[in-house]
Amino acid sequence: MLTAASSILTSNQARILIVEDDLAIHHMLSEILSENGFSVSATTSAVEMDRALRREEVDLVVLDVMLPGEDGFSICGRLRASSNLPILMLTALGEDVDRIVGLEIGADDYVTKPFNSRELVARIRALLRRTRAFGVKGGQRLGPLRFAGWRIFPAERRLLSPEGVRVTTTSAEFDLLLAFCHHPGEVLSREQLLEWTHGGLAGPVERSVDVHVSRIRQKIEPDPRDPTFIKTVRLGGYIFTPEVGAL
Amino acid sequence: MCVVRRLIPGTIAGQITGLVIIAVLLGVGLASGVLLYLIDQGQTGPNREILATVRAAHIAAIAKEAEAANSKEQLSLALRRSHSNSIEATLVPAAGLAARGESAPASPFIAAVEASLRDNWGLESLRRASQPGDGDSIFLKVGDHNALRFEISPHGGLHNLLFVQTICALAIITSSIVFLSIYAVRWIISPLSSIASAARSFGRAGGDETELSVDGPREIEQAAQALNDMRKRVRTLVNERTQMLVAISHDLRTPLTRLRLRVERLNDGPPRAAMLQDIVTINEMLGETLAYVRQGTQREEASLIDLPSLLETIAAQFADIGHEVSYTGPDRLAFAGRAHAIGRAVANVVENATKFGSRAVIVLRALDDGAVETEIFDDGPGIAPGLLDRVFEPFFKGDSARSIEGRTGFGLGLSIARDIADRHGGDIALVNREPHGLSVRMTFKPLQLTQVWGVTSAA
Repeated sequence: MLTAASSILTSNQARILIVEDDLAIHHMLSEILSENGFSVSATTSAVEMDRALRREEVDLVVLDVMLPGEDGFSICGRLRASSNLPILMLTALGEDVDRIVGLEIGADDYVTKPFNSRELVARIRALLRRTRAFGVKGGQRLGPLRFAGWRIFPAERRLLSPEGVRVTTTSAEFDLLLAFCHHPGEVLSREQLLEWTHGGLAGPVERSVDVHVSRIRQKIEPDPRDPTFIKTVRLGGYIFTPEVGAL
Repeated sequence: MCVVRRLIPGTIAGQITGLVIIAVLLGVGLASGVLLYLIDQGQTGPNREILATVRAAHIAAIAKEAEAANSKEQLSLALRRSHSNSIEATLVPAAGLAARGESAPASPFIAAVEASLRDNWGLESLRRASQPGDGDSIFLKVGDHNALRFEISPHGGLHNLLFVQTICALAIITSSIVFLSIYAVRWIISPLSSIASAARSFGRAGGDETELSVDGPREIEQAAQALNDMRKRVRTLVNERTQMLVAISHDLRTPLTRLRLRVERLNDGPPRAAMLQDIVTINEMLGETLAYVRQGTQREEASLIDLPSLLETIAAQFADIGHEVSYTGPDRLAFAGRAHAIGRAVANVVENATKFGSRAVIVLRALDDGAVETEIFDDGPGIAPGLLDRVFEPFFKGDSARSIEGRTGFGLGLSIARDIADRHGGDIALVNREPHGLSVRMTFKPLQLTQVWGVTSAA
């Protein structure tokens, strides 16, 4: 199924713009992404990036935090103010992660250096899929949603229970829950769900969708042994039953 | 010497108070000494002559009256009158009295009074030969069988009066000065205590980092100023070192990224996997260093967090990279704390557990007082009893040979975990399990909520 997903992407060659000042990383990244079927433009600074963005259309930006001149946070804020271009940030500092996750800056995902190139490619794919699946390209960003008293903040990657208590999830669980929230009342196949999440790709142990679903149930269902939010559909997959509304 | 030292009070307040008391007593003593000396001056030289003449006139008048008295009543009246003056007259039998001999010399004052009586009034005073203690008495014969005994105080009533009143006044003055000075000394000394407590709390978790106020006596002001400067310098020094470590750790990640990308492009095989593992290890060590030097500088807000989901997530993350880690405990438990910090503390302990054992279990319990306890136990070899206390020391590494797959860090994980538990008002304890394995219990107390996340976002 992964190959199927890749073929969809390669058929219309997603264009990735890299902003990274270290030349060696810059070259190797370009090669890796090209090999994985992306069309790549590589820049080394904010000025070059602006020039490239004026020249061509881009589907996703891979942005390094530490850059000479204008830094990644500032660029991210600027891009976010004018477009909804998906942004994946590269960072070498744990604290940056806090800022990205706290999302003062509005990046969509992040990868910490030194990254696993397989993971980076998987995340880029997941981000592109998410953008397409949720139809936010050119539209508004994913806003916070509400279901059965729960609140989910996609940008901040935060989940609040009806009591206002913060519930922690893995990123795969969060992506899965978000996919359910964007398709309430629809029967979603395991293949579809796997396509929208990149869980399991990063680690040596590949987890099935079922494992992630049972973990989410453990965290959000009133009774995890008798789930009412995420119901299993025999031979079909899963259906998310609560009504979902914008917050 | 030792005794003297033991008598000296230990505190500055005590010493200064002691000094004040001694000074006041010495001053008062000297002053009253001088006063008494001046009064005593009245008994010598020309003053003595005048006083002796006045006393002699008194005695003569009383003696005349007694002589003239016809009845006992008149006699006692005359004697009673004498009491009001500084002369006390009593009636004594005349037997045994004789003229003054050379054997019983009188004091100069008595001698002067006797001389005056003899010269001016023609009265010859007598002596009681055998009785001692009659030095200040003058006897005059009255009638045939009786005599009058005059006891003369050379100082007069003034002396006695002065003496009693002075003692009272001195006692009052001394005690009020002592009390005032104790109060004043405490007031002057009190900034010293705040300097001491500031020095003590400096660099401790939760210590008060505000500047010391620099008012008070000039010396104490200088000490406070010096301490403030020192704290500033130490902080700058530590911050510089921290910045340096952060910069090193951070900058190393760029070449490490290059290395990783290069290695990933090598042909698949055992050397490649080993190199990738080494890169992961180096990166983990850098991360550990960064977390250690940055601890305490990060200000994560406390919020209401669901602890079971946090611990389940940690268990899941370890399980997803191939370790057997599970969670047991309540399904839901809201707790006011710092999610990142608690997550890091638990993850550090679990990380250790997976290094030394094959499986780890995270247990969560709610305690009675609103606090929570996490217990992480593994089936590893445990820790030698002698090392149980030392594992919290930064950079302490136990027997690294026992770790599985040779995964070692800098040995900062447990000291970071302890610091986090400390900042949550809790603690951490290690206990070996039977037959083998280690149990790490951490307690966390709920924190004051600074804001309710989500309410502000939803608005």
